[in-house]
Amino acid sequence: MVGRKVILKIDKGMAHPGRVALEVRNLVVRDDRGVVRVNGVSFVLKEGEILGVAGVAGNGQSELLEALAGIRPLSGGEILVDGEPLPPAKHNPHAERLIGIGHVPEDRHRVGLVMPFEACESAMLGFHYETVYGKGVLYDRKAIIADAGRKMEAFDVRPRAPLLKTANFSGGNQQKLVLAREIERNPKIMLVGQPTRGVDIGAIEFIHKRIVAQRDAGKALLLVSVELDEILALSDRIIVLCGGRITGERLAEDTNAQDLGLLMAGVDERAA
Amino acid sequence: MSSPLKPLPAWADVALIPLINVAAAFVISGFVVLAIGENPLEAVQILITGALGDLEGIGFTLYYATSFIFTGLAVAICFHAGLFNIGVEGQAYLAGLGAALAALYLGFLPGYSLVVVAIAAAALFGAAFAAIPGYLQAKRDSHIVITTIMFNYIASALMGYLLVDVLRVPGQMNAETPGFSKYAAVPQFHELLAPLGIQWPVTPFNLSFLLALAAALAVWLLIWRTRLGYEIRTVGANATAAIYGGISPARITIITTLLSGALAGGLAVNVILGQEHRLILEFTGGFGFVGIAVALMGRAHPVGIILAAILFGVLYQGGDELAFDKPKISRDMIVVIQGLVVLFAGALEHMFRRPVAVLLARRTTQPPI
Repeated sequence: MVGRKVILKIDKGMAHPGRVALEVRNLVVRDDRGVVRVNGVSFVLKEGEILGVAGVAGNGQSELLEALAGIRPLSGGEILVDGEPLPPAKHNPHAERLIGIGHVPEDRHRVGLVMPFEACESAMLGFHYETVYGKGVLYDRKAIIADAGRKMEAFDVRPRAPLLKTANFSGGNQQKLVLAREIERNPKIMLVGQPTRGVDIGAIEFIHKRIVAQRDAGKALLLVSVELDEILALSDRIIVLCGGRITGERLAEDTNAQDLGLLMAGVDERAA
Repeated sequence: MSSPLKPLPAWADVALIPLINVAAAFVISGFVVLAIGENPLEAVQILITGALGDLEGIGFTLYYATSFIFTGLAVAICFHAGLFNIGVEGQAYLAGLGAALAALYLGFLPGYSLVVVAIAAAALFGAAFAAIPGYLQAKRDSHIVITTIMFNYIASALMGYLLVDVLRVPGQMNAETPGFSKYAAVPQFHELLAPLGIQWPVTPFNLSFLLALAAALAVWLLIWRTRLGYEIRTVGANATAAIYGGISPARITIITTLLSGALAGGLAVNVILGQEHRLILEFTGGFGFVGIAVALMGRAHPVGIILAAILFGVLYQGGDELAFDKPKISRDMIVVIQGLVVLFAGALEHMFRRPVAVLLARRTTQPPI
């Protein structure tokens, strides 16, 4: 976009991983056509770390993220939250939000936001049932607008116009709106997909800082991105998916783009 | 990708564009009248005088408008969920059965509680008949446009059978039920106003009109001020986002079609309980389909629907007068106008949008963004 390679560098300290927040065992997920996209994936995600999921687009990351968020059914394997298996009845977006799993979807236009809605209405998607937006049968419009105003202030969404149509915000500001909605609820686990796709440079930096701040606050973050630079800049630990399987796991400090690139093609230099 | 033009201001979007669309429909209707060999201006004058020229005309106009408000709301609520309910006609027809069964067989209920129960029965039967296409859409992915069209024929056949073979008074030639008791009637305004010393000509205009206005308010509150309405609009605008937001599109589809069918029942309340006081064949008279035009013209907003319903009330009442005064112009002229409104307000909704945007952009100096 800027005609040169942009160096994404972020000041981030050491990670202090704590307890296992999320564990995945032998996960199998199919796409809409029934093709197996995630084929026996297992990993753990700890509090206070960012686990990056790298891979060439279309190697199962999207399906993995959707399955974890409860949008896509599991074809096999199990998900454990805080060491407890997630029962099938709770494997849906609503129940997962209630137990503190936030989800920033990969595609804000198609999934994360409702473009014809006012920004304040998009800013409560998924939490619209909560009593903060009105205690009785009817919504309290003032509370909805005030809540959106607070989120926009906290994430510097411009313009600060809760009544403006969601579609009329720039990509970066739309993305900040999604992040504000998810992060302001203080989830203990966050599933983050393509957080900076189609976002301007200024917003990228802002979003990255917020993601790292979440980690430093002891949250467990799973980051799916097809931007290798982003994975390298943010992650503490990286798993690489190729053809629906994990082809390798690396600590961020002792890997590089070439190493990851080979893993993305299914070649593990170190194993060889 | 995006148009370089800035979006239309709200007033133009809400008022100007629909007005232009409707005006275009009327201009072309004028040409049709001209082609028939009559003077369009004279026709308009007869039409308006017939509909609004005296209290009797106004009574009939508002009676028709009441039906159109209900059917327009029924179609509109489905629009918000991204569904196109073409079965309002059949749902209203079945609602008439519910109203009639309650009125005929629950006569033991005290006083005017009977009419309240009959209204509830109309809503219930309308909703129940809409439930089947709603369920098929939600669970079996059978397109609601197709199923509701087919259900109109099922309703027609079923009601024909019931009225001819089951509910008809023995020895009576007309396919209709016996008359209802007076406690199953929604009071008409001329009856209500007479004790107050106000002379209102005898028209079918009845209290259902107030029920229709209340329904419009309720629909507005539901759609824009409740959680269910939020979920309905989310499913209609972006079903994928709805799933992400923990909303089940299948559940919303069923609930919305139920509400739509219940609203369709209002047509039966107005016609069967408010005017006919017995169940007759084909009492819906195509008013369920007019609801589609009303909802499109009113842009699925209750206020717009009330205005559009009154306009169609004027067309129906004035059209009768016109057909009487000018035999060359048949009642079908109203269907032509209706079709043109659907064409311009529905199919060609955005035709005038761009020219208007260009015009407005030229007039207002734009501050740099």
